[in-house]
Amino acid sequence: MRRLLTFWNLLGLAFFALGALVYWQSPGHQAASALPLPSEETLAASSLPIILYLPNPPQGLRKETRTLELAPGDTPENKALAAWAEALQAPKPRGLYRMAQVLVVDLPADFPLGLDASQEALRLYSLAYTLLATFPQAQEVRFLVEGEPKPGLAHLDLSQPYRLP
Amino acid sequence: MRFLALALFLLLALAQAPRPLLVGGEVGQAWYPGGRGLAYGEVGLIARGLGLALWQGEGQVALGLGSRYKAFPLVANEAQAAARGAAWKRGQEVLVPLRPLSEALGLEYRAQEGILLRLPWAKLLSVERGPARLLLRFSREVNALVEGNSVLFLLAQGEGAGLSQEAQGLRLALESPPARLFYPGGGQVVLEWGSLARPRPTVLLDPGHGGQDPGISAGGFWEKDLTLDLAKRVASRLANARLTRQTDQYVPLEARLAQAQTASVMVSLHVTQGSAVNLYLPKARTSPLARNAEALLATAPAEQAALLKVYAGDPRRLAVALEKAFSALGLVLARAEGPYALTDIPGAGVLLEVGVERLKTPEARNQVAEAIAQAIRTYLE
Repeated sequence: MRRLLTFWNLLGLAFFALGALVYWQSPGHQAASALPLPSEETLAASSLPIILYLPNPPQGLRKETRTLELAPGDTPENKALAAWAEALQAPKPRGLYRMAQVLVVDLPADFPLGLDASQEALRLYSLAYTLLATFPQAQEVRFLVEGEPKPGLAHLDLSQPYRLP
Repeated sequence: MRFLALALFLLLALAQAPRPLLVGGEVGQAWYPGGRGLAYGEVGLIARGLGLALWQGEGQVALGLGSRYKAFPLVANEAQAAARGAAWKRGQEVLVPLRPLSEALGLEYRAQEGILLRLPWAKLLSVERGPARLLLRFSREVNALVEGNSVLFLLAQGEGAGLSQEAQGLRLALESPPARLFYPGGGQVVLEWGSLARPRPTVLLDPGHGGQDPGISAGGFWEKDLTLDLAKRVASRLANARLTRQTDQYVPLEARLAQAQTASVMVSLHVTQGSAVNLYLPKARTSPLARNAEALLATAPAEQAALLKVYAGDPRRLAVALEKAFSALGLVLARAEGPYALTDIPGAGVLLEVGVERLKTPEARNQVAEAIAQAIRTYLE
């Protein structure tokens, strides 16, 4: 039979006893306390100031600032796209992805449907400028069509990114 | 110890002193700018001695042998020239580094008491005679000079009909001087007679929309039908014009763009409401050929400009021609610049949007088509 009272066994026992003592002395399990109140920062994130660039032919684009309320589950990206689409009565882009300083917008195939060149330009620039002004950390917008990079829409080139003037 | 150090410095100094340079039959001096141990020789002496082609521009000098050439940037500061392996502008003289030149052109380089630079004689391997064409193969690259009704192949030797050996090389007697002489590489020299077929500019007309993409609905018409009709009327008035689509079919933008890349002129036709005629041009052009073409077309002589317009163009010049042609109809074009589809191409690409009121009758369409065709003809002239 092996010896029980070896040096290592005794050392292990000592550590176990020390751990048990610390556990015993520590305060017991606390009952659930009140939920922390949302900080000011969290409150600020529940709203999104959006700068809409609305088509205003023949002058170009008209700037309008609004504040959007973010309901639980809303993302700023989705809310901004929905607000823009509603303001222009245009097809809502399929998605907006923020990658460092680049915004990537996925457009639906019917985005330019029924528009001539100047209307299409106003619609696309309106979207690009609205997003760049609303998310100022982004420097440029790139567009996809139905999830894929395309050389252009009906009249406009999409191979290069769009930036604020 | 001091003597040893002195001797070492003396040897280094002597190693950088000018040495005799023997290039073919020419004698000169090899220099060592910046004390870097890189031998330089005067460019004219090297070209004369070895029968090399010499080209000297504002900030560059180049030496050529057949299809091979070596270009050096010109630098006035000797230390910088030697550090970069560039050509050294020493007063009126231009000196080039000998070893890089030898490696690029296949020269023989030997450094002993002096520097020896030579080119072994080329041997003529074969002569192929074709209709209005002569192909000569040598054992290495050679330079050829057209002198009257003969061609002298420098530092070359060989035998054959019409060939005679001279001190400078091999002379080929001809009935008439060739229209072209060029070096396809691999020690070959080609002589050709007769004129080259001039490339012709191509015009691409893009009827916007089509198939499942009808465009706008205007005046009881679909945009896709009006653009196709207008494009066909323009094409019938121009030689060498083609369309991106001939029928009511959907052609993806990628396919249209692929065709537009090789067109000298591309006009994408669209229709808008009302009676306005809008012209859309590219704001920024991405290809270097396109950007350079605008400056070159402004300065090149007419013949060269006409040739350049086959491959690259200036949409602003095309826009001016369109404005003039439409002004004859009493129409003022509204011009805008931006990232418009199909316009960022090497050729002159524009997007023209015609108000439906201008296209209501066949006569009106003929007038618009004639104006577009006239503008394209004027631009290509």
